[in-house]
Amino acid sequence: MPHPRLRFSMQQTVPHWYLHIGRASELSGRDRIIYRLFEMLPGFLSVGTLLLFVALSFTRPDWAAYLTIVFSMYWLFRTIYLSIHLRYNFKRMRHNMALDWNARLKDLKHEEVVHLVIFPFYNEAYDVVAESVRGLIRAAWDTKRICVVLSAEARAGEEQRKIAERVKEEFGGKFLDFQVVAHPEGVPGEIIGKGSNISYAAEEARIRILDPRKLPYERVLVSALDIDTVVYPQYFACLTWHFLTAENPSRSSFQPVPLYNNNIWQAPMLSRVMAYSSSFWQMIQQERPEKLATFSSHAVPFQQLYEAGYWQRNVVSEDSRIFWNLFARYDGNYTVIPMAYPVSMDANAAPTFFGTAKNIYRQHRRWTYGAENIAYILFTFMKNPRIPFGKKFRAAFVQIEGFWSLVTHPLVLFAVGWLPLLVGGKGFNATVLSYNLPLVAKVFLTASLFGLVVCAAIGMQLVPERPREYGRWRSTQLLFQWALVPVTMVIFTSIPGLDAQMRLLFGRYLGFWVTPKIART
Amino acid sequence: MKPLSRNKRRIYLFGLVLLFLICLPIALFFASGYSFRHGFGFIRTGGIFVSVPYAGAVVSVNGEEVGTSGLVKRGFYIDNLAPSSYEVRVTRDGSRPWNKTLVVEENLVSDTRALLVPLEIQPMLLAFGAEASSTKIISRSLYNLYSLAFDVPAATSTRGTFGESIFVEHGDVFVRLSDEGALPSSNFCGRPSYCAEEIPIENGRQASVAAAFFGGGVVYATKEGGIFLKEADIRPTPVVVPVYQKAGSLFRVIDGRLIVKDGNKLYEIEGL
Repeated sequence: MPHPRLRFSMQQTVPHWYLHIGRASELSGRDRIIYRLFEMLPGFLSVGTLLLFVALSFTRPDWAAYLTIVFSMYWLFRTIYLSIHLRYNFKRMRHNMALDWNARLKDLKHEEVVHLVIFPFYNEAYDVVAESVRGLIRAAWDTKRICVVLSAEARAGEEQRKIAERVKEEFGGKFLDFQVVAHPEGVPGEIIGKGSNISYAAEEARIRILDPRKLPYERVLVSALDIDTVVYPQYFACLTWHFLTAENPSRSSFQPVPLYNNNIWQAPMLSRVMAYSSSFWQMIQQERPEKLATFSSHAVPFQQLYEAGYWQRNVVSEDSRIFWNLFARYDGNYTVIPMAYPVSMDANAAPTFFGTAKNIYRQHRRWTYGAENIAYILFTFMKNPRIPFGKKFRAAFVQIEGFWSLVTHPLVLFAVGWLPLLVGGKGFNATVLSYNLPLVAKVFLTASLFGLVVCAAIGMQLVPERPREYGRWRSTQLLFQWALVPVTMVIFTSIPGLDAQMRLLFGRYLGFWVTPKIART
Repeated sequence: MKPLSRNKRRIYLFGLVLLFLICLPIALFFASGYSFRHGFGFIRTGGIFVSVPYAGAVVSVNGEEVGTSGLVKRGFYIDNLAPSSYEVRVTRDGSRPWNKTLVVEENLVSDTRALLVPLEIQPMLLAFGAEASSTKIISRSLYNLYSLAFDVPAATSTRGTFGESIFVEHGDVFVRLSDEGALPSSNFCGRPSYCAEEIPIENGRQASVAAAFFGGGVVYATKEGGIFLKEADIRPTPVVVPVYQKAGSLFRVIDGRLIVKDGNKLYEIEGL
């Protein structure tokens, strides 16, 4: 028996019964087998590729060597292509940050647009929560057109409830509405995580805010922000402009650029590299909207959210999944509009180096667990004949190739690609190819380093002003930190990605892991 | 400011794909050893790899200097060589010049390891309790250990560290592969595609009595000529140097030291 709060959305999704499938075990019969096979696909492809390399290194080292050269060359051209996108998005983001978006809204009917901001939180300190709410107040937007839902986890205990009430007491009066809700523990069909929390919060907002105030759903824009998200001043104006000028606003989600600037000066080098790498990847995707899915903090029109039954409560990657829910719900007629405007979040940092490394690994494993979407996408595509084949093919290809290359490329280029030299045998080691492999691959990989130069240059311009307590050496580190990328790509991208895909392959499903947020000083 | 237009992105994409498709065969051809020569078109080339385990040695191929070894740089790869014979020479102050004729074949690399033997090989008389400028004083126990080593007959076969073994048979010395199925290393190969099963170290008129791997080559003793060091390489011209030229002298390799016995006296050969 579903929780009472869930019944509403199930009614909305009956024609699309498959919309909220979390994993194969929720299905039965043939569907279950098919879904399970789809879950196994990314792991199978990645492991298959790596094993193929290993096998070829022993049996046909020349083929493996040729493949390594192809990979390294592909890597160079891909770096060039992506760097063009990154640089362009950086210019566009800087341009957008300099604009007065409220002035741009003057000719548009924006008065009816109301922003509903949902902050899920679990065990974060008062400072973290309060600073995020202060960010909303500082925004260049009438706070009387912002409703806030601070959604605590009931399992976090009374302390968190008190923090939420304190924040409400201090800041609640400044907003059109401010609700504190507590997501109950142990609701059937849910997993512990952000998805179940914000879904509950969204429905509570409908009951407590939208319906009593008679706010039309189609004019309410929901920003699902991580608790450490501090919006930049023009966020709401920029979001409203994009919503009102979108070709099809009711079939669009909106994605800001996540920058991890809140604590970037305090964060250790490893953390900074990973934070900027994640931001840069999102910036690149912003210029490739056909490949963009929602990620982390994002915005969705409430009407569409309601019709799709809100975020899934039974998956880890609810942020990207909501896009695929809506894509399936509206028969492929749904897009993500890149805002090219940032929000600021916390870089993943712990008090110790190993703590940071562990947290980053777990965070990236959670992110790369987005590979669970592949099974969902393929299954819903199979069940929804109304989505045009071309769209299905492109979407599936982009997702499968994305998760495959994320895991395999760094491992091939920095590890297994060199196996032929070690295990190829004396016969192979006497060939010109064996001697030329490192030379040729090195040329391409060294040339690819210019991508890091682009990253370093852009990173230096994105970083907030250096606090007084840090010297110039700290700034210099921001340049040299990029030398870590070849290592971080393998250890904190490929390996957690492979870990996540292995879990899907063997049915050892991952639960949600909350990234610890440290109180900012 | 509008997002990057689809048209621009397509131009970047197709431009880079085109460049990739042009560069890929060139890279793969180069990696496989193909090279373009004016008047000949594309030819298949080979290469030479010279390993120089010493710093400050000058490497030249066919009289043309390739480079000087250093603390880190110990290998020289010369690629893009048309199939032919090449004279490799490695020289260093205080060492005898080392020469090797290498045959380069299509798509294959002929590798070799330079063996630089000092110009002066000094036998140091070993003693205990005495003092003299040409005498090396060692402890009595070590002296006894060295003496006892000569009471045991020398082995007729010794296994090396690279899957090779030395055999002393009927007064001749050979180096052979220990594992019959294993691919031979390049010192067994007159040319990369043709390898012999054994390398003759000494198979002339003199009668060899003992042989062992030492100093990057093979040290052997003959009844008639004394003790010699020879490079274990089938390719011309292997290094041969006399180590201790006195008939009837014997040697043993003990704890990485070359000890020579001449009558009642023991010597340690230094410099190798």
